[in-house]
Formats: sequence, structure tokens, C-alpha cells
Amino acid sequence: MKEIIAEAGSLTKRYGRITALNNVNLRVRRGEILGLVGDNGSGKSTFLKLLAGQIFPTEGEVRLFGAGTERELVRQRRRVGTMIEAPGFYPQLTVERNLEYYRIQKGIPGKEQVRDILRQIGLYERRKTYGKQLSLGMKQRLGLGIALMGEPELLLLDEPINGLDPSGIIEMRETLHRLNLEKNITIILSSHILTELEQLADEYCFLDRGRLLKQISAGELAEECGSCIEICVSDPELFAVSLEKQFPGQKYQVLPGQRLRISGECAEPERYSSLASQSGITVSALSVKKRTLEEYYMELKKGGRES
Amino acid sequence: MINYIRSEFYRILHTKEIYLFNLLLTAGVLALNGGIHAAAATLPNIRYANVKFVLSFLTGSMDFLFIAGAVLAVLLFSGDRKNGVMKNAVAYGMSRTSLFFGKCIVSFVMALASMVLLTAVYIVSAILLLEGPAQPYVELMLEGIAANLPFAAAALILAVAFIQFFEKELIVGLAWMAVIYLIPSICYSTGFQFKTMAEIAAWMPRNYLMTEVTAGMNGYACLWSEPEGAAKCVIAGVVGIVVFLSLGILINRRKEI
Repeated sequence: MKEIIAEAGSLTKRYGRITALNNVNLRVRRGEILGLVGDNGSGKSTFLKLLAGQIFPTEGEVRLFGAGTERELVRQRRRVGTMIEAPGFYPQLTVERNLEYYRIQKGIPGKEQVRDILRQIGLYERRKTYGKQLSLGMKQRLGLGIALMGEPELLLLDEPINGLDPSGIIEMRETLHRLNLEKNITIILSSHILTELEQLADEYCFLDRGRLLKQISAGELAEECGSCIEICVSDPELFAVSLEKQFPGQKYQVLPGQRLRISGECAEPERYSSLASQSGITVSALSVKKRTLEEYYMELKKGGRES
Repeated sequence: MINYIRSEFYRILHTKEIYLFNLLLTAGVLALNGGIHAAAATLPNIRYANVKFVLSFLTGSMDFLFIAGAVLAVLLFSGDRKNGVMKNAVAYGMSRTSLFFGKCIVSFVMALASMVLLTAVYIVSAILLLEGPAQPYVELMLEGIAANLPFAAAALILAVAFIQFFEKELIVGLAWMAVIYLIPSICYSTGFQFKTMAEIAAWMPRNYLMTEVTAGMNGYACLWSEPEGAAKCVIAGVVGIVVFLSLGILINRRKEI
């Protein structure tokens, strides 16, 4: 079993009467890439800020590398790299000097790491450019470079691909993948672009209005998002009864428009259409579909709100 | 904290704020002495073109040290929140208290260096450009700087505490002015009614500098000329350092960034 390096226990954060994060429990294991999925105000940034120590929990606790007390957490955060909300750097310093500033602050000997990181984030040619002159995408890259200074074991990245152009997004994705594979860096990242998260994460946390809806591995998600059958029938209720009789344990969902979605382990599509005709139900449409991460999240959110 | 202090010195020496600050104040000092020198050349009977008069500006307004130190601290650190570098420092394992101490140390060292430079320019340019004896005025001024240095450090610490706590420079400035000037002046006024308050108010730098120090063409009467007066300044300064350090730790200990 891999070591748990970040953990939230009954983590709650309130700002006055607003609950930004509500009783969240989750664990992140070494080497994972955890994707935080949620709308604006779902609590993604709040969660990352709590891990980074920028804000304090109202209730519950944060543990990093097994440490839970305030003093220990401060020490353990030296093993963490962060880029939360806007990347933090001095606009009046050049890219290189910003990295040098953080190199000195983190007590890293030698200047080689500054050059290595400049190359890694693709800003070597721009090293003499002042921070204030950088484009949004370059600022994001510099932010990542600062987070990478000191070879962190855990990276906390909030919307790291914000403002990046398509090639920048690909480079960022490849960089994060490489860091994860080669250096076993654990990454917790949030993104609005779910298709991007799909290509990176091997664990997901779905948040909605401060609540953790689900923590699920990429494998489990693939299974849940795997092929499903959508069938449009004349009598959905009767078909559901027949389905339960014929295929006990089969997951299904009644959708608007006299449709049913059959998920989980499905039989051949023809078997469902023949089941309908045996029950005297007319099938007007039948299709095999695969749910995207977006669809999965929207359904989860809807389910969470209904409950 | 040592690494943080080192990184801050690196940053400060590679940005223009500290150079602009010193350049502007040096230019101001030279303009003052040069202006009086030029005035003396055109108006031969002017009685103010001497070292005694020029040095009385600082000797009679030692609270300039407090203001200059606070302004420098604001200049050096006020952008930290806006630029997101303070949240980085916290996220990379700096406690808020270490951050506060680090900023106090860096600001104090930079302020001290600036003060040495500006005082040297002030004295040397006055002696070179103006007439009259330099002593005992230089000595009185230097004694005054030494006696008021602890409270200047305290005022700077207070500014750093507020910079770390408040987001806007204007609020920092107002809060600082309230503690250094407004509260002492209220205590001073209340002191006319209550004897105990008068005794407390007498230990506040704004009040003793106003009532117990005069410097000008009519003569110098400085609190710190006597050992008791110098001790009063130093004690007030040390108490200020302890109080403002405690305040800074207290308000910033769990400050959310």
C-alpha cells in the first residue's frame, strides 16, 4: 500500500455564514495525480489553500506526510510546491531572478537548478524578461517553475493550464506527466477543463458547493463511465420492471423522454430490445454510449443535490 | 528564516525601490543645504545659512526617523500580498511569525544603512556648504539619533506588522499614524484631566519629542542631553519594540492570506 501523503479529516471551512468546504474527508497517496473536479465555488481552491496553510480550517484537520500539528505542518510544507490562484512572483524582477530569489529562500545550493527549471518550463530564452512583461501563459509557466524549485514531493496546482495556448497546454501536461513518472511527484490539481484532467489524473475528487461528492480512481471511473446503453421505449416503467426481473442487479436510470440508461456490466444490446418486445414494449431507439467525465460530474452533481 | 532574509536582500538589491528611496532623500538633503547656500550667496545678511540652523531640522523633528523607517518598510514589502509572494512563502513552509521577524530584520538593516548614508550626506554637505561651527550641533543630532533609534525600530516593526496584516497601503498608513500620533495625542490631551494619564503620555515619543525638545536658531534644548532624558528615549524605544513585536505576532499568527 502506498504511503498517504496528504489527508483531510472532516475538513470544514466557513467564511461567516458561507460554508466553502463542508466535512471533506479524503486521502492522497504517494505518486498519485489527483484531479479536483468542481464548478466555481465548489471548494477546490479552498481545499488547496487549506493544504498549503494559506488559510486555517474552521473544523477538522489537514495532515501532510503524516504530520498534523501546526508546527509540524509548517515544516512538512517545505516538501510541497504550490501554485494556487494567480502565480506569485515579483513583477519587477526578471524570470531568472525570480527563480533565483526562491532558490535562495528554499536554501538550494548552486545555481544549476534555476537553469534546469528555466529549460523545463520553456522560459530559458525569456529568462531576462521582467515578470510584468510576461503573457498570461508565461506567468503560469513561471508559477510552475517556482513551485518546482527544490524538487517538491507534492505539487498543489490550482488551474495550472489557465491562460495557456494549445501547445502550452500540451507542454504543461507532458511536464506534469514526466514529473509524476520520473520523480514520483504526487500532484493535486484542479481544472475547469475536464477533458484535460481526464488525460492527467489517476484519481478524482468531485466537489459541489463545498461537499465532496465522490473520490474515485481513474479505473473505477472508466468502469462507471464505460459503455452504457440508452434505450427509448413506449413504457419505461414496465420496461424497468422487466429489466429487474430478467437482469437482477443491472444498473439503470430512467431519463426524461421515455428513455432508460442501462449502465454497469451490460449484455448485448439485442437482448434488451428482445426483452422489450417480449414484454410488449415498443423500442423506438437504442444506442450504445460512453459517458464523458463532464457528463459523469453533472449526473453526480444532480444526484448529490437531489439527495 | 536566514534563507528568507538572504532572499529578501537579494530581491531588494536587484530592484529599484531602495535606490530610489535613497536617491530622493539624498537629493532632498542636498537641495536643502544647497538651496540655503545659494540663498546666502544672493542674500548676504541671511542668518540661517549655518550648520546650527540646518541640523536643527532633524534634531528638532526626530520623529522623521520613525516616518522614514515606516515608509521604507511599506516600500519594500507592501506588494507582497498583491504579488502573491507572501502566500508562496507560507505555502513553502515559513511560519507567519518567522515571516514577520524576517521582514522586521530586513527592513531594519535597510533602514539603518539608508540612515547612515543620509546622515553622512546631511552632515558633510552642511559643513561643506554652510558656515558656523559644527559642534555641538552635530553631536547633539547624533546623540538624538542614537537615543531615538530604538523607537524608530519599534515604529518600523509596527509598520511591518500592519503591512503583513492589512492589504491596502492606505490602511497601513492610517493605522500606523493612529498608533504613533493619534493615540499619544489623545493621551496627552486627556492628561490635562487625569494625572496618571499625563504620566503615561509623557513616555510616548510623540509627546516627549514635542514638549521636551527644541532646536533652532534660538538654541538647542534636547531631552537626550541629560542621561535621564536619553534613558527615557531608550526605555520608551525598547518598550515599543517589545509591544509592537508582540502585536505583530498576535495579529499575524493566524492571518489568512
